[in-house]
Amino acid sequence: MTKLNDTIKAEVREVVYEFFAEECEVDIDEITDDSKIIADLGGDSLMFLALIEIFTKKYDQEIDLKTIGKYSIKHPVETIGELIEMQLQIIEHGNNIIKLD
Amino acid sequence: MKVAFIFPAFVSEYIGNEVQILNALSNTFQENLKKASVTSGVDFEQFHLENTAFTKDELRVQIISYIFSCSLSNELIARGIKPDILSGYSMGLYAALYTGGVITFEEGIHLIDHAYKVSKSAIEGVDAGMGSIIGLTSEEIDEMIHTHQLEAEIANTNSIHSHLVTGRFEAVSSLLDISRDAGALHVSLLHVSTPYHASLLKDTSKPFNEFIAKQIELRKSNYPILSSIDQRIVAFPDDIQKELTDNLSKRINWMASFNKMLQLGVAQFIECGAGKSLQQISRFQAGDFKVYPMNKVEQLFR
Repeated sequence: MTKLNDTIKAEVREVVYEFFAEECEVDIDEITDDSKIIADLGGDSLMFLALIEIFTKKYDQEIDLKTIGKYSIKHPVETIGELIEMQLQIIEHGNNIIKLD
Repeated sequence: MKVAFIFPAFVSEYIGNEVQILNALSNTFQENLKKASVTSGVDFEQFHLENTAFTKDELRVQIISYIFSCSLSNELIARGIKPDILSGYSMGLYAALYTGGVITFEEGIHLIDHAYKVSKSAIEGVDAGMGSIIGLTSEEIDEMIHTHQLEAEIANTNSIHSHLVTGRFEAVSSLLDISRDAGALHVSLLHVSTPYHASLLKDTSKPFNEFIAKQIELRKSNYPILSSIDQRIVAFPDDIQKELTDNLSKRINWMASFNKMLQLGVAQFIECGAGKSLQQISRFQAGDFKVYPMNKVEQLFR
């Protein structure tokens, strides 16, 4: 678990935007927090998994993916902004994310 | 630096400009559409991305995927880019065999068509399907199959946390539901009604073997071909015939194949086919390598 600060929040946002720009072959300036990952960018669920792996390595976390899966049933992600928010929750709470409402 | 040509199976998502890319290189793609039409009796020259007759029909999807793959590998070799190794993902095997000179283009169409027919015959009266599970390990999936006694099995491992499952439709459907409840990040049913790489297709071996023996003249491959079943190198006709028949009913492991190619020194993978599914799967592989899908191969010609 990692205490969030402005630097981490900015890092996560930058990585997510750059990731989707490269993977979806979209100009980064066309991506906003409201961009829908599948409908607007042509993204897929494998990208979500890839991002989780990127951040678990970056912040040296050991995450049980199943806790994120269970959390995402209650908190489905559709937009870039929602994805960034979920990644920040994962970084902050680790496997305890499942205990959040 | 070694180069691998890797061949996708069924294209479910196109980049969008594959036809234009191939047409800009030469008329090979158009010629192959004509050849496929003559060989199959289906007018493949009517193909375009919005024509659902070619994007939804399971057999036609396989054949059009094969046409894209063969056309691109032709272009690459004609321009001096030669593979050190070939590997087909699932039904991508046929295009790998064509590229290796093991079969002719037309023989590939006949093989795809017959494999489809013997597979359908083997499951006559059985409602079957395939699905995708992301976020669970193979051990976790196998345990759920065992615990719930489902007539389903893993068909392919794409990465540690990404698998395709296959079997009876009801069992696959239940497995996806159970996986979602267990914490899978994503589950989905595929638009495939044939349970490829499943034991449900074990009865295809004899008729498919007989067809190959009578109708197809398998030749020694010009390049090593990596088995996606057990990651051995196949090059001679007997081995290739076994690979062809096993490929219908045995579990494959693309993650292991990719790792094997990395171990063999491959650093450049060219995805010979439409879409970029193999590049997307490769995200989860560690190592210093690059995958070129069709819309990036132009970089290799410079």
